[in-house]
Amino acid sequence: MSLAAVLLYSIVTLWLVITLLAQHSRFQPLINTFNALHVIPRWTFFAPNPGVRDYHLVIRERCGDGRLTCWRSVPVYSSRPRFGYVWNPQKRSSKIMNDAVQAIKLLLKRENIGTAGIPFTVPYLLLLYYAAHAVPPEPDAVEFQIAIIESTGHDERKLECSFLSSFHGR
Amino acid sequence: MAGEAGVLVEIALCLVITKFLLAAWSLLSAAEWFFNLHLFRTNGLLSWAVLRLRPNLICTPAIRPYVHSERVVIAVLLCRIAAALALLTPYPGPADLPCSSIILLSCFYISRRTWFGGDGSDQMGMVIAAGVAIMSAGIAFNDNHLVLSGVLAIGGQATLAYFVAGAAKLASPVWRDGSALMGVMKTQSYGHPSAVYFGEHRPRFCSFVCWTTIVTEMLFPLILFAPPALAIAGLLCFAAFHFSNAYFMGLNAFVWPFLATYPSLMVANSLIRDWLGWA
Repeated sequence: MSLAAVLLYSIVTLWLVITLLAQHSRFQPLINTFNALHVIPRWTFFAPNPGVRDYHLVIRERCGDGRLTCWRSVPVYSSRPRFGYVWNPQKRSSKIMNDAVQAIKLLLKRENIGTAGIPFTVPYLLLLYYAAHAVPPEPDAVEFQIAIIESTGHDERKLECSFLSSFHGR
Repeated sequence: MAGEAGVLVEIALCLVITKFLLAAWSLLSAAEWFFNLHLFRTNGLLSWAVLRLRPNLICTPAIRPYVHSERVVIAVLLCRIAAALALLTPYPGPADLPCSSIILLSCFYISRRTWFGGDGSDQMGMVIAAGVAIMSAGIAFNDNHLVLSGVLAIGGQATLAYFVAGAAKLASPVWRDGSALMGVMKTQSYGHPSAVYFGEHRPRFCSFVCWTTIVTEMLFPLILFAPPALAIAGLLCFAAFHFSNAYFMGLNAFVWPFLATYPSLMVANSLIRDWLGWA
């Protein structure tokens, strides 16, 4: 057996062992520190907590006279195309939104971040920045606020506001 | 001698099928990212104006805006497409190693650039690209052990993927009581109206589907030991599972990289059964 083969067998075996460990939440913080290229996959698809909610982004503004506008929907993703089993590029926007919301929820639970620190985090800024640019401002708007709305159910959809930002300058 | 020749033919066939499916996934994923180029623009959901603020960026600050610009994203995706097209030869060729390496590098780049929005198909695509690169290197240098380490990489990750997915579902109360199925199917992101219509008032059916998924995914490692005909039948069932996920959940990109693991699993099955004296 060549040296290259021995080396590759060792690397592949190590990769598999680390991948197995990475599936447990206990080892994830450690593994994330050297997983910048995402070479260690996570295979826990839709488990243990499957995504049973859709996330929607909404925005409202405060005008110069203190009046608040109605909440407006921020277009993030459109519905799945008819032949989505073959061609479904829309899933990316939906997944980005899901990932950002999940990240915000996790950061809110962290003691060193919480509600006070969340405006300084990347997922929060990503949604805030996107909403600010995706929806044109009202002529006399001076500040804006975003919220994350979660919806569940099919025929009778239940809506719940899970996050409300502070006001930010327009 | 005849046995060794048989293994070589089996490995060559494995590489050809795997690289075809890798090419199919690469073309589909690159085309879907092209459709989503607006996400990378200044006002997009993956705007570099915000994502540049995240920690642990790799390249030096001076070149970061260029490396992560929309133009470089386009160049990377074009490289992925060109490499995928070059992989579409019906035999192992000298272009396989550089082309699979280019696809692998493009996976790393897109993963770093996007940060959010990656899914299991991207992870398995990366695994397949790495495996094909190792197998191609083995064929280029005429080193069977090198080829087999590529088979181990793909087959090992595929076995882990299915088993872990099943075990994680087993640990979940909503999967065990069957409510996870309708919960997911009722979403706009991953659901399907006809599945809701059929399953909403059939809790036993939902429970059956959830438990079938849990049990079959956890039993997936048995594919490596089963008689070849049974292993092929099992893999065909899992292929049908992926096609149904594509239809009902819109997970279209999962089909190709997961199917691409099956030739390596069959080679691993053959080697393990030989080693155990079950062949």
